[in-house]
Amino acid sequence: MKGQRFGEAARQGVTMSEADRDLVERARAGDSAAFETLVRRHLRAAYAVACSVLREASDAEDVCQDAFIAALEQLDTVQPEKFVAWLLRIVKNRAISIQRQQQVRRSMPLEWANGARGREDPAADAERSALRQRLEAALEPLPAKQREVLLLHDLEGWKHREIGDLLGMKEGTVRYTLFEARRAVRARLGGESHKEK
Amino acid sequence: MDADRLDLSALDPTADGERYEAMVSRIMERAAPELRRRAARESLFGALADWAWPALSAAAVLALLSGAALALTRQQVSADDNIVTVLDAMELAEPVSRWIVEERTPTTSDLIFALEGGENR
Repeated sequence: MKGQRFGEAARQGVTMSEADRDLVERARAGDSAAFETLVRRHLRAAYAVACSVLREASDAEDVCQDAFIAALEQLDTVQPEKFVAWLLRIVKNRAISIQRQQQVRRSMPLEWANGARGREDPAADAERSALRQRLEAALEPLPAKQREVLLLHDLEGWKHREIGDLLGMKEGTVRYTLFEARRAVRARLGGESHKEK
Repeated sequence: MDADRLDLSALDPTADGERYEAMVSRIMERAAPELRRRAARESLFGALADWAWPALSAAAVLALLSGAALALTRQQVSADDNIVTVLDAMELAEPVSRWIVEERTPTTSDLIFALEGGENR
């Protein structure tokens, strides 16, 4: 996952912020391809952060879309090397805002597969859907901070230091929060979905 | 620590490629007007930047030429002001230099007096 996230930049030993810098500069000048690369590079992390606050997939998607557009409109105000942290703060703030507006609404489980159509392997889809629902049920009772740390680390592949920088936490606190989140999720899953990588 | 990692890949939005691509497409569609505005602004600034150097160079040349012309004019005025000093430098006889300064045509008697070494008035 980390390899996917960093892609070519990681293979060339370029850090994320260094790789973002050029893309941000080009996107500021209206380069559509550069902006799309930024979107593809950070959409997963944005989605993970949105999901750590919101339960509904469509809300998380909307928040991600809004956040990327807001980021583009304010792109002149950000230091290019701090783009991702800045973007994820926008995502989180918007997600919290949506959450407050929807407090009367009952939270629904994430249903990413709702929009699936024309699948080639319905059996695999069904299996994935069942696993996803179990994960969602296990994640739901976690405190938001634990969900965010867990999703950023185990889903998105961020390092402890990167998560700490984003959330304003010490690396040791991130490790402990991650440990607690994993223990809670495993307890709820009964150890069945624990897969070592 | 990675050995403890939970497999959350079922929650990975990119796992559903079609939906993920649709999400990227929607973002890019909404971003298009802002990207066009930025591109237009950039091209305007680019055009201004392209014109800036030639315009500044021309202005600098004009300023130099104006300065040189002004200096020459001042020199000319200064030379006119110093006409008496030049006459003094030529060491003409006193009556002759007086006629020049007074722009007066010497009379016959002036000439006679001057030749005799006398002083006319």
